[in-house]
Amino acid sequence: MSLHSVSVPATNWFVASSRRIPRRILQLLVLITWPLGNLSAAYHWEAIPAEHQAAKPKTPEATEAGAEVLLSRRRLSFSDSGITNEDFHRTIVYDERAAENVGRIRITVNLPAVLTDCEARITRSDGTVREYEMKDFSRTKAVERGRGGVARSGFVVDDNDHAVLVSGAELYQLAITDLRPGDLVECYQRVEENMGALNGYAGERLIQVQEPFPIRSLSFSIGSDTFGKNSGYQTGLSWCNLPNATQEKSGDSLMVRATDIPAYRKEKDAPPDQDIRAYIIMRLASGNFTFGFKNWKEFADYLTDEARSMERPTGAMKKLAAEIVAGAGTPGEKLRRLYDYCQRNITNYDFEDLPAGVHLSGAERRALTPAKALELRCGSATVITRIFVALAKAAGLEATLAITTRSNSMLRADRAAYGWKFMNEWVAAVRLDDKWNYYAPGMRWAPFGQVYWQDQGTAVLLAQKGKPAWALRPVITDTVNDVRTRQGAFKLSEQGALTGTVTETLSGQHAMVWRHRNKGKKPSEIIAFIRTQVRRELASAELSDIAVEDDRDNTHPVVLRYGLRVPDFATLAGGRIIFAHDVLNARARPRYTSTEPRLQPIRFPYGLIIRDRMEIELPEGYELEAGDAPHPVDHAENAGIKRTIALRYIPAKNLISSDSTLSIGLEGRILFPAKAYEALKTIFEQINKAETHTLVLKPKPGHIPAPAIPMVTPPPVIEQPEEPDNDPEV
Amino acid sequence: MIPRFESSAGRLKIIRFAIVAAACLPAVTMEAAAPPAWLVQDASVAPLPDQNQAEILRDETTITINGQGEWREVQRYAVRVRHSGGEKHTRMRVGFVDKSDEILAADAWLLPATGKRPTAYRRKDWANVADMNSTTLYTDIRWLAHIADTSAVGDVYGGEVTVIRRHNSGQDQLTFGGELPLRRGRLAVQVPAGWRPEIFWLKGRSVEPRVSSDGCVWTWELTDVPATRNELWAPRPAAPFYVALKIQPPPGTNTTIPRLETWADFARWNERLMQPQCDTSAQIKETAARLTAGLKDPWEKLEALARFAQKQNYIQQYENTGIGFGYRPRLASEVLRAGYGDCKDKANLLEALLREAGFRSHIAIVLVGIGRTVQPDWPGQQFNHAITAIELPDGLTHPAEITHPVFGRLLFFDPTHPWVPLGQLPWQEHGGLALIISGRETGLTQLPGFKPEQAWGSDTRIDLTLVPSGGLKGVLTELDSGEPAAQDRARARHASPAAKRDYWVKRIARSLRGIQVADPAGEEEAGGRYRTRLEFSAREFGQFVQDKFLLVRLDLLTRNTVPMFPRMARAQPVVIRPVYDAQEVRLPLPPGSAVPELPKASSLVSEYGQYSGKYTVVDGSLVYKRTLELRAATIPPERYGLLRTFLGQVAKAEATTVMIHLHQVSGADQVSGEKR
Repeated sequence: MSLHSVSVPATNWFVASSRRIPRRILQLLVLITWPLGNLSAAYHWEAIPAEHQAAKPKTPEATEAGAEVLLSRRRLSFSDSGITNEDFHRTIVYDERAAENVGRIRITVNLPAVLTDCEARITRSDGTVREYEMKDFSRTKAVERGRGGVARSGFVVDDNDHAVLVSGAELYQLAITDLRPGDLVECYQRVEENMGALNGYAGERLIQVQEPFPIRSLSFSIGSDTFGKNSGYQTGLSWCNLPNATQEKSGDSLMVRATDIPAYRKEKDAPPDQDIRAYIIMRLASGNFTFGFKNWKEFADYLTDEARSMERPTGAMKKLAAEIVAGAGTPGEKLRRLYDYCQRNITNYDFEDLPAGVHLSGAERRALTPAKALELRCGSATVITRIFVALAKAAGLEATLAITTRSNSMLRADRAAYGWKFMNEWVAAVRLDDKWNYYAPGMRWAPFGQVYWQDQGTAVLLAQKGKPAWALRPVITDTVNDVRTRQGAFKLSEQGALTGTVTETLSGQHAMVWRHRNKGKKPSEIIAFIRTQVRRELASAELSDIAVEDDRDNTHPVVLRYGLRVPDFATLAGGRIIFAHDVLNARARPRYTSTEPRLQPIRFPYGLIIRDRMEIELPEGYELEAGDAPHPVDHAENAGIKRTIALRYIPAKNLISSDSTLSIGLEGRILFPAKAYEALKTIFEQINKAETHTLVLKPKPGHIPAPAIPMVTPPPVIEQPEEPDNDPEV
Repeated sequence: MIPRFESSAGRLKIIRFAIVAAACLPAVTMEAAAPPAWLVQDASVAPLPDQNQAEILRDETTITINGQGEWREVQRYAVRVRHSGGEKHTRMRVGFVDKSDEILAADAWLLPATGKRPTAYRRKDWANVADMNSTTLYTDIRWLAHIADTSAVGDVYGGEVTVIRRHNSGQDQLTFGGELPLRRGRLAVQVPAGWRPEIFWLKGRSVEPRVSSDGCVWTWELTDVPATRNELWAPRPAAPFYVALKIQPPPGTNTTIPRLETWADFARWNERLMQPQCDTSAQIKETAARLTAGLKDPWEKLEALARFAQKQNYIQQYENTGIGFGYRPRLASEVLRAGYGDCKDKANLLEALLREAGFRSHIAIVLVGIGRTVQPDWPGQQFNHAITAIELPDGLTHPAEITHPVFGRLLFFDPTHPWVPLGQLPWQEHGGLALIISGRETGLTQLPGFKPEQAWGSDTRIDLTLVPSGGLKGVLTELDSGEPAAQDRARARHASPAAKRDYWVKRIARSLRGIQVADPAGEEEAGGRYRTRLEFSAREFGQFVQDKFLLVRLDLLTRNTVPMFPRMARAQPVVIRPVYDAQEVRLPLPPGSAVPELPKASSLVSEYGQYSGKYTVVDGSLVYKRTLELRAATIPPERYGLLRTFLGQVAKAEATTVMIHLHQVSGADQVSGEKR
């Protein structure tokens, strides 16, 4: 009798005896003995079908990737003693360039799970076969976790001194270095999760199924001997972004099958992974654990109970709310005052330092209640949102908490199976004029009535018992508030250098993004950031006298001022001077360059308006020779994108003046299907053409141009180091 | 070659070597409870009035060497969180080698700013983490790491770790300071009477030691080291102080710590580690014979063997690191059987293969890294990479060979770099100092230098044709040498067809809109160069002005690529790599058109390189020629302004537009030839 066959009755014994032995002890015994019993449970390789032996790339993507997963099969089996997770892949190498990747097999195991088997088999195109057993894999204990911070935080510090996530406790690796086109690589792994990990578990797991290589055929199944009978398991399977998927039920097993899953490719302006990447959602509730939702109604009920416990106003809150709204004429005015109070009088430690004298450890922060936060005058974004709801209720407004998807995702959670998995951010809902409005005062830089761009377009679920109420927060391109204006006044020299000053005013989303990006930064770091941003567009730019006006009142714009000198701004063609009038975009590049077919939708972060007003005083002795203005770009109707331009030459002042406005995402159009890529690319090329449009100056009659660059530079002279720019206080 | 790790105190550790100590000290099992006096004292120091997220209050290492050469080390570290975001710095880590080093104690404490009771963390609260990256298959090099994730602004965190390094080479490297200000850094070394610790400041000003009256305790101290600003192209490591330490036992001492007075001492010590690993096997013999079968020319044989070693995958497998302390390669037979290895494994395998084919070669150790050079006056561990030095047989010569007083004519080759062919070296190694590992008496050897056009050369010709729609067609031929050629080979091998096209689209999109490219074609050229041919088109080109003029720039591939530095005081040197970029672009002028005025030619010379650019009209075509050459250099901060000025002038000279008059002009208006 093999060891493999011995292990089965051993496991069954624990199941049969479970009525007499305390469950916890059983779990422990199973944890200890399970891996031992399964150590030699060798995998029985299947015969490879003929169509796999001679497989050719089925899609252009497969050719592109250089390899293809012909078969991916995952199965989760449940029993009273745990979950067995089996994973099998069969991959064919089409091209040598993919051989190294395919040949590196890396299995990550998170404790307390145990890898009980991993094997690999190579089948050459000439029919020869090589097998690798578990002992051939290199095993490294990546992390032996302590009970301290590392274990709880789940990260360590890498060689670059960055904190990195610890992805697994143990690594099993195999390097097969001699793969050739036509070789088939099969890998099998079996991981056991003991009952202790499973018991009391309820929720949904997201299982990423997309790989660096396309998958021709995928199956994912769950089931067991006891499943669906007396085990108490509740399970379900669903999927997202898996177009060819089907579900089957066979006996006690549920299975999702899918075909032709493309490889994942990063693309510019793609929506967040959650919205586009293929994954399977597995729902599991086990043991005696009753938590879990079967449907949106159950979730809404849970939400309502949670919200009620969190938003109940205390006596102190009622008193405070009365003081804040005293004299306010309308509910809207009351709400604004409460909102402003929460943002201005309670330090939001997700965004700013704690007030002097207040110290909160991580544990204390996690345990902080709205009442205590109000007392300390500080809280997290979530706590501040709860305080706002409580104060609104105390002020007599109809208010409650609502829940939405995490930032930046436009995934319609309401339409996704087990969509509550994605609902993880609290917002405040207040009914005004018989309409629910949504607020996030915890978002420190969002003024009343506005939300972060990441929160636009997301589905919100109102906490209302028994009747899930959905709302979709719109995407708003606020052409009044979401504006960035840049004003520049410059003088162009005969040598082509441009010198002047720039004032930038950021409001709406621009200000929110600025403040969010620079939170916690030192003034010198903010100055460096401005310098970097400008130099990204104009590499030779020299900035001076950089000043930032930001009183951290989110109803006020952020104003940036700086002196700008670009020594090589204009190009000289003999006696002529050629320059781009749109100073800050003079060297911009088109937004999109890739000529490859687009796979994913295009999503702009948010709608934006940029108004530029640039004045350039021309050098003495020169006049405009060729004065074409760039063409306006208007695709507002079909793409929400528009650029207007007014270019003037004022000979009396020898001045070029330009006013341009670039609008993107008008009418909330920030999401486009992949097939729109070519059209969008062309539009942005038109914009780029307009932004880099050049004008030509010629010497006035009788003027002798000055030489721009010496023919040969004089012998080098050692320069004294330059003083650093002053870093003013922000 | 040598696995290293960095402790929380910001220190580079080399795997140390020593025989297992005869008597291990009893393990100390201190109970972590109240914070120690040193930490309480550190916490009482007034905070710095600056904006840094945190400040390091103490970074201290105390090393005690006993008569047998056993290395006992105590690390103390303390940090204060100053502002939001600084909480992430309340952490400590110490590197060690599994089954070789012994952690005797590891404690940490968090002292809340509120004065509440401190939190004590014991040994079991620390994590034991493998030092791995994507190329590591196995390692026994690990960190003991701790993070206090409940810290808040104002808190002081401190830790103390005691470790015995049973296998040590008596050498170490440490850094002090970095992105956070350091209030107090300290290195103390206690040695037996007659022993002596020697240090060399590889970076930062030298600090004189304080020596105890009996000459046994040596202490170096640093105070108030400001935070280092992150600067573009600065040397590594970024820490302002970088020090190498070696323990020198008295002559004749019975210890495994080597006495290193000369480079020959260090070479012999390495030889003892490496030489036994260069074994042979039937597979090695068969492989060498197979690779050289039918080849008569020794050069061809060398090429075949070198290419084979290069093709072995780069994978790190660090087993029994303590015994070999990171210098010892795996057995050549084992590396060949597995098909992978790291730098020293591959150099060792190549040596074994060459030997079977009748060639003599040696492992040579070198130092690579941005702005890093071996200090010749300090024999000891400064290296991080292994390559191969091949003794050229009589009758075989190569331009890159050097003549060595001991080994004769040598050709160096790096089997780790998969795409730099025999006869060349990766640019980071050019002109560097190598130590040839051999039992024979030898010092440092200077690796051959290469001109910029050999090290990082690119010679491009582009022939353009205007199309009636206003667009453009072009044929580009690029002949690369050195690193660009290596990148071409890597792209040809690993990149998908789309990725190859995308690479060229990105380069051309600097200057053209509406681009389409065909699949590029590449081929090897003589002299280790690589040629790429590409056809492309653009929907539009230049800017038409009132239907009379066409404004064009022909710097298609190089537009806005000249590195530009900000105008500000520089604290650290600037490291520049070699550049040789020559381009010739030809545009046949439309019938009847003329160029009324050509831009002035530019010729710029600096001690760091030179630039020339000019437009001419030749045979009815507008021709643009430009060459930029920079020599690899580490430029001191005081000369930064000069470099910045030179590159600024180059950028300005590059930005040249030509105005083409589209209508028929008289012959007198047509400019031809070179205009100066």
